[in-house]
Amino acid sequence: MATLAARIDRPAAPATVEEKGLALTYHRLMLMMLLFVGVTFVIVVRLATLHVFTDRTGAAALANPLLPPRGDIVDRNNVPLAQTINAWSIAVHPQQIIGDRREIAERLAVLMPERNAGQYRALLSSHANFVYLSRRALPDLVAAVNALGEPAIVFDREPERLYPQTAMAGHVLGWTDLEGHGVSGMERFLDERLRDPAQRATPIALALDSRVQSILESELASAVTSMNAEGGTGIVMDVATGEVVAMASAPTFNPNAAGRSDPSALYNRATMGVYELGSVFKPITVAAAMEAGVVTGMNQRWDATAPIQIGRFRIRDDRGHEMNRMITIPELMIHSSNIGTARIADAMGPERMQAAFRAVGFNLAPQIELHESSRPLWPGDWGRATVMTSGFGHGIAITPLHLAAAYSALVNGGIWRPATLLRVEPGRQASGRRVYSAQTSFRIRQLLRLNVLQGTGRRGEAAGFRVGGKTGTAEKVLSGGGYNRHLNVSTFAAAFPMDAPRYVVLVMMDGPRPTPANSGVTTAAYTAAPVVSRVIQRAGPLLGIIPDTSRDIDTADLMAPVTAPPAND
Amino acid sequence: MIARGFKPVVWVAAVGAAALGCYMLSLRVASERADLTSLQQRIVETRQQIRALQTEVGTRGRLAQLEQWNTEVLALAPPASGQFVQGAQLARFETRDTSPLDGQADVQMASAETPSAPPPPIAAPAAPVAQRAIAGAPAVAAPAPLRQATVQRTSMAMNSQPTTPRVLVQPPEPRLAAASAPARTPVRTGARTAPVRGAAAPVAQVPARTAAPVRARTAAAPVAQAPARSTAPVRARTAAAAPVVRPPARAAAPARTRTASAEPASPPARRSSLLDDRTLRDIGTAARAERGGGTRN
Repeated sequence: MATLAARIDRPAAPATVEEKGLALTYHRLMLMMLLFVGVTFVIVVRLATLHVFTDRTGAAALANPLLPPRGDIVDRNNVPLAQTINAWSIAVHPQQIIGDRREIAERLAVLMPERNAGQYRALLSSHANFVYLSRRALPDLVAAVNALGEPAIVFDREPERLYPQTAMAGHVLGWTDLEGHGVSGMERFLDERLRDPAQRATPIALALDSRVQSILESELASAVTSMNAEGGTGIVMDVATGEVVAMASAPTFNPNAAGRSDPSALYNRATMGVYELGSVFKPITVAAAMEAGVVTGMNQRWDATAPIQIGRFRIRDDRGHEMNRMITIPELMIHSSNIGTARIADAMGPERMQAAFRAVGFNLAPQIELHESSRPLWPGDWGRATVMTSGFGHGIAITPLHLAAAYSALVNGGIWRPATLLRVEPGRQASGRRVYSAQTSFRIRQLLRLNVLQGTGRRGEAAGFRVGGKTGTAEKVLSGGGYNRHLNVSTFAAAFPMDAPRYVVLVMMDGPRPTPANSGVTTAAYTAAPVVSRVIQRAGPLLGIIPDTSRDIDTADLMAPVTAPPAND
Repeated sequence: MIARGFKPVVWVAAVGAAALGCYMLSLRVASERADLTSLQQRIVETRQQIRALQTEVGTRGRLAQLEQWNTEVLALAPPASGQFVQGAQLARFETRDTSPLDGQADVQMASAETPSAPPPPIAAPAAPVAQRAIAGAPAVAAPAPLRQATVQRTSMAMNSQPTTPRVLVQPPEPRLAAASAPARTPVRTGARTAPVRGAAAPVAQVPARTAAPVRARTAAAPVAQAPARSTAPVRARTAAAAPVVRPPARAAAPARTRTASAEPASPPARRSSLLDDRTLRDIGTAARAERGGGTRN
């Protein structure tokens, strides 16, 4: 500016040299002053706009350090099941390495043996700008890698999903990928809700009770191990609300390191496995027949004199349970008579049998939040043989969760409700649909209790807890068709306390072998029923049920002349 | 004139002081605000630490780990059904005397008794003395109020349940097929009509049954201690009062104890006063209230 002014002045300057010099000085001074005033004004204006128009409230909320990047999942008693923590990650900028790459690679291979020295060397020599060495490093490892002294190796804190109870309820919780998106289980179902900034501050409560879950898992795991079974599953369900208080599947996996677990362990047998569950269907068939008026009374006699030959099938009773006479309904239940149940199913006919199974949702995938669920194997052709065998649980394959929901309806007064893994506030349970009348439900409760007192379920009894239940032993279906005569799917579906049922407990053992733990017998009475008994004894008081030997459901009117059978099924 | 001459100076000083004052105020506010911010930051950091530590404790004390420790070391077993005591309550202190202990003038009444003395009809004022001794004794486990306390009831034998009537649940509505149902035995009908809460009746009588052997023991205590201490009966009484309270406290702790002894805090001489009609009635009322308030499935 000053040079510009000088240029203007120079050609038109007829005045004296002194005047010219003085005027020039004044001009320059004025310009300097204006410059300072202008700059100051600009700064003041900018400060004022910044002060007035900057919105600090939103920034404060966004940067709230107490808001987790992903919401917590807790159990029904607010015990954390999934949390997000700040974990260490170790990464390297391969282009900026200063030290000897070969030496660093060898030392990294010692510290982190997931890769060998050659792989580390290739990684360090690559042209990538940034490579993760370890995403979920323990502080000890971070300290050891830091001690290498290589400035190109950087450490950072990243949010990581932690499952504090490790392997417990892994099948229910699922896991997240490295970006923090749920890929399985409830993490997947609740993904949007867990990431929503407005909602993630409050944890989500599941229906699970971690104590009961822990008991169920430990009892199931010890039974699976001691009986050398392929697997097993267990469900504890609140009959009044449909809440799944515990759901276990053995073998288990640790969701903290889901990728490193055996793929077969990720399989949730409770919702993904479809099985022909066998005699546990009999109460459902009998209840449907009572509703349909086919079974008119407990003393009505059904023909079990001889096996039924239908087509290439031959329906007979299990060895040791052959009655070879006319039997009443309580006898049918206590002795678990296939022939008697087949006759009832035959009298029902295909339409009514299908309607009975549809009423409890056996034709649809199980109603639960988990994505990992399978559709049942619903028979395509409902011929006479299918109708008869479906009555005692053959020819139709469902998941154990289907069965637990159906048993809830059987004992809770006849209302079927979908299962849920989310905690249900009191009075907010699903309205459900009435499947059985209250009288039918009461009869079934009597029959189930009688079966535990005198029938095949005697090993499922837990003193004072008034357990009622039904055993079911089916032969395992081979992948190529047909049945494996030596491998069983043994199920015990029970409810307690039978005078006012609160919980259904179901345990299924998949392929138990004859071992001393089951006295060499792989039927449900020796494999699944004792597990249910132990689970009820341990978990019952935690669920608020105090054993009381002075109460029971009245089964006096069913005490028809029945002979106690040997305790196997 | 001088003042007029200094007027500008005064003005400058006044304006300067005001400006300085305003600046100091603003500085003070700014520093307070900075303190507040740093405090808030510390709160946030602490809460983050708390969360991290809670996570760590929760992870280290996970249920699977606890179960493993139990399997390997502790070997604790879940309680069997017989170990749950039905309808009984553990020993507790019952406030019966409404007169406050403070300022009582009848302390000396306690000295009037010896173990061999005949039972006085009702020695109500004597009770606070024993109670004061109890309350002062360090061995007292229960936080008993400074009132007259009486061990009111005891837990009972585990196998006493067959004495309670068996409750059988009936169908909600008339039977599905009433005609086909076999006739019920009259015996069961009798049992069925018994009320559920009726179990309170035998419970309330327990102190009466267990009182006799227990008192024999308490009677022995002062006798054993009296010669060692002193011949003064008062001191023997107070000395005996302290051990008397212990057994109920001990009995209350393990649920598997078969019988909790009912140790009355009163001396043997007051036997009749403990079991008068009023006491029994109080016990019965309290027992029923306790049963009604308790949670049952």
